[in-house]
Order: sequence, then structure tokens, then C-alpha cells
Amino acid sequence: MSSKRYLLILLLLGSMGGLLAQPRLSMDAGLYLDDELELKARNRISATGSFGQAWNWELQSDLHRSRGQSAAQLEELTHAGKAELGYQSGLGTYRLGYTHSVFGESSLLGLYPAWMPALNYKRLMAHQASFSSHNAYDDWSLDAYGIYRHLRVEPYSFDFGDFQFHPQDPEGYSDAFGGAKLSWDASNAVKVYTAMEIKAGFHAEEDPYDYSTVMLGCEGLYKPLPQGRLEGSVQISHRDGDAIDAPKANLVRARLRYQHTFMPGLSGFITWENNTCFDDSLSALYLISNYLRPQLVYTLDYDPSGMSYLRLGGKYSPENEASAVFGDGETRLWKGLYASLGAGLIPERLEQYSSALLYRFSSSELGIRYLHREFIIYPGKTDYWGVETRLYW
Amino acid sequence: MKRNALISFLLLVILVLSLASCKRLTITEYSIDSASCNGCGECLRGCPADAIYLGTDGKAHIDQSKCTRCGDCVVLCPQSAIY
Repeated sequence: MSSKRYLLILLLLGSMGGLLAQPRLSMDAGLYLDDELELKARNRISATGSFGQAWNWELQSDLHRSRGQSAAQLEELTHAGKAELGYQSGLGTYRLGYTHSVFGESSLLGLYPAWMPALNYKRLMAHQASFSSHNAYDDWSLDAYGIYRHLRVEPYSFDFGDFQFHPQDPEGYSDAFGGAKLSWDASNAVKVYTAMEIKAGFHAEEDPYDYSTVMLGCEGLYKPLPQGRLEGSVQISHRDGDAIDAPKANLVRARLRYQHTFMPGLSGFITWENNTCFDDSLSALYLISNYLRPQLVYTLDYDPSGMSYLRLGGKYSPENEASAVFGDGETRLWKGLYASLGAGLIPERLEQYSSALLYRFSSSELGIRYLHREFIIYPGKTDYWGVETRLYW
Repeated sequence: MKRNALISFLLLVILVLSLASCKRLTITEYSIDSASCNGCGECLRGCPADAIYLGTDGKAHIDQSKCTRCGDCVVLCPQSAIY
């Protein structure tokens, strides 16, 4: 190889090294044993960086292993990977992404269509490719996105002769989502928009999962007090598709969120969302759900690193039996040593609490944790003991 | 002035909807508080209908055409963002 080629390769490698300079890496990992000595594990490795000023990228690997003991923990082993590339210029921002999920030791699920109990599926792998863009010109902005998702499954058909499910050849099902949103900034605090979304499934010729949505909405921002910030939005959607029930064809979603800093170290917010629907003949207004969520965070001032805190919150959503109360906190015991406590309750569904002892050093941490989870709607409860670490470079 | 008018309008709409929506729909529909969702993916892994996907905003989205309204995602969400 000539010296010119060597020089060219060195220049390319050097420029790539320069472009990939200073990537940020992080790892979040945990190994736990439950009360039947089954292993539960998680490992998330993330890397982000930029190429010059216009390009940025993100890579992520996410591995989970848990005991598939109930419908709420379907897969015993999953791995998800993500790669994203972003570009920003004076014209706008653009993003390309790819994610995949590999499902190991999958449970049998009633998919496609869910109302055929004689046919169940094991998820094998899911691929998802996506793009998004944002362009702004004066008071106008245009957002667009597209997602293509392909799920590889292994069908199992029920044999009424031996009353068993038998595996068939693997097959795939695809869905495509696309949408665009045109916004107009009426003022610094008020935005009006219209949007359209289309979803197409490629499962059958006349797909029951196809639908389209057109939306009209406005968003506002108001600061009634120097320490407070109020955001509000109202959106009216018309949804059209076989799977959308007639009374839910038109959806009105109203949202208010107020954030307030009461004093240094104490802040909170309250969110209220309301989902209401009506059919095309406007025969009646129906309530789908309300959601009220207050949350408070108090940062304890004796810890100069700001890592000691108390957080209390709750959500009230009686229509979908999704109300919950939760709280957690951390306190510094000595130098980098912290104690952590947390608890959460969803009435008649879940109780969980955890405690941990953590050692923090140069923004990384090592710790031991105890976690108790009890799914009230499913039999059994689980206690986990384990070690965990978060490392940042 | 315009902001005050908009906020008043929003408050009025929410008040009217909350009062008017007294007829309870028997068909459940779950929603996600996008401000609280951190895109961790727990609901994606746990959804038995494969009805949740990650949007281009990095947040979880529910495909209402596939959702079977089992409510497992409510239990699984570590941020309590699903209702």
C-alpha cells in the first residue's frame, strides 16, 4: 500500500476520532435474586455524542431478565437496542432512528386478532425504523414523523383433538404510523395547531387495525406568579377506523399543568387531564377519564450535592382504577454513603416498597437494594435482594 | 390580554367538560401523561397485546386499535404515568 493511501486512512481515522470525540457513556446495571433464588437482571448501556455542531447520535443496549410469573411480566428475557442519528441546521432538525427488541422465552399471547382464542403467538423479534423532522419559518412550524414497525412471531394453533397449542412456521406483521403537524405561534405564549396521523397495519387485506386521526388544538403558557408557570392545552381529535368504537370517534383532551417553586429546595406541580368523547351525531358527551396528579419534591439543604431529597406524589384517576400514591427519598449518611427508601401503592393492583444503601463517587454509584412487589390482581408476591451500579464516563 | 383570554378559555373548557361529562363511558381507554413518561420501555415489554410503541418523541404511545384494556401497563409504569 502506498504511503499516500496510509496517509488517507490515517486522515480518515483521525477525522472520525475527532468527530466522535468526547462521547458520553453510561451503564445502569442490577443483579437481583428473588425469594425462590431466580435471577432478575437489567443492564442498560448508553452512549451519546456529536459529530461537529450539526450531527448527534445515540446508541443504547438494554437487557432485562425476570421471572415471567404473571401477565404483568410476560417475557423472561428481552434485549432492546437503539441507534439514532440527528441533524440540526438553520433549516430545521431531522432524526433517523432504529430500534429492535428480541424476546426470549416469550409467553403465548392472544395477538392479531385478539378475539381468536384458538390462535396464540410468541413474540420473537420487533424492528422499528423511524424518522422525524421539525422545520420552523417565522411564526409557523411543521413537524412530521414516520414509523415502520415489524413484529416477527411464532403462531401457535390450538388443536381441539389433544387440547394443546402447536407451533407453526414463524411469520411477520407490520404496522406503519405517519403524521404531520402544522403550528402557528399566535404570540409568545399561545400556539394553535392542526395535525393528522395515519396508522396502517399490514396484517390482512381489510385490516381491522387501520385508523386515521385529524386534530385541532391550542396550547398556552401563562406565568401568574414569578415562581409559577401554568401550561394548558385543548385538543379535539376525530378518529376514524374499525377498531375505534363509535362513541369514541371524537375525543376532546384538555390539560392543565401548574408548576410552582414554594421556596428554595421545595417545588411541585399539579397536572389535570380530562378525556371526553362524543360520537359523530353528538348524541351525548361521554367521560373517558380524569387524571389529577399533584407531586412535591423537597431537596434537603444539608447535602451540598443536592442528592438528598424527599418526593411525595399521587394520581387520582377513578374511571380506569388507576389512582396511586407514591413517595421516595434519599438522605446522605456519611460522605458518599446514601440511604434510599421508596413506596408505591395502586389500590387493588400493586403494592411495592424498596430500600437501598448506595455509595456515590464522581457521579457514579454502587449499591445494594431490597425490593418488594406484590401484584394484588395476580397471585403471589416477590421479594428481591440485589446489587446495582450506575457508572458514567 | 391575549394570554389571559386563552387561559380563561382553557379553564372554561375544562370546567364545562368536567361538569358536562357526567355520562360515564363503559368502554375503557388508557392514556399516557407524556410529561411524566420517561420512555423506559417497561410498558412495551409488559403489554400482552403488543399495543404500545415508542414514538419519535421518545415517549410511549398506546395504539388504541390494538389495546385490549387489560390495564397491565398501569401497574408496570415506574413513573405512574399511565391512567
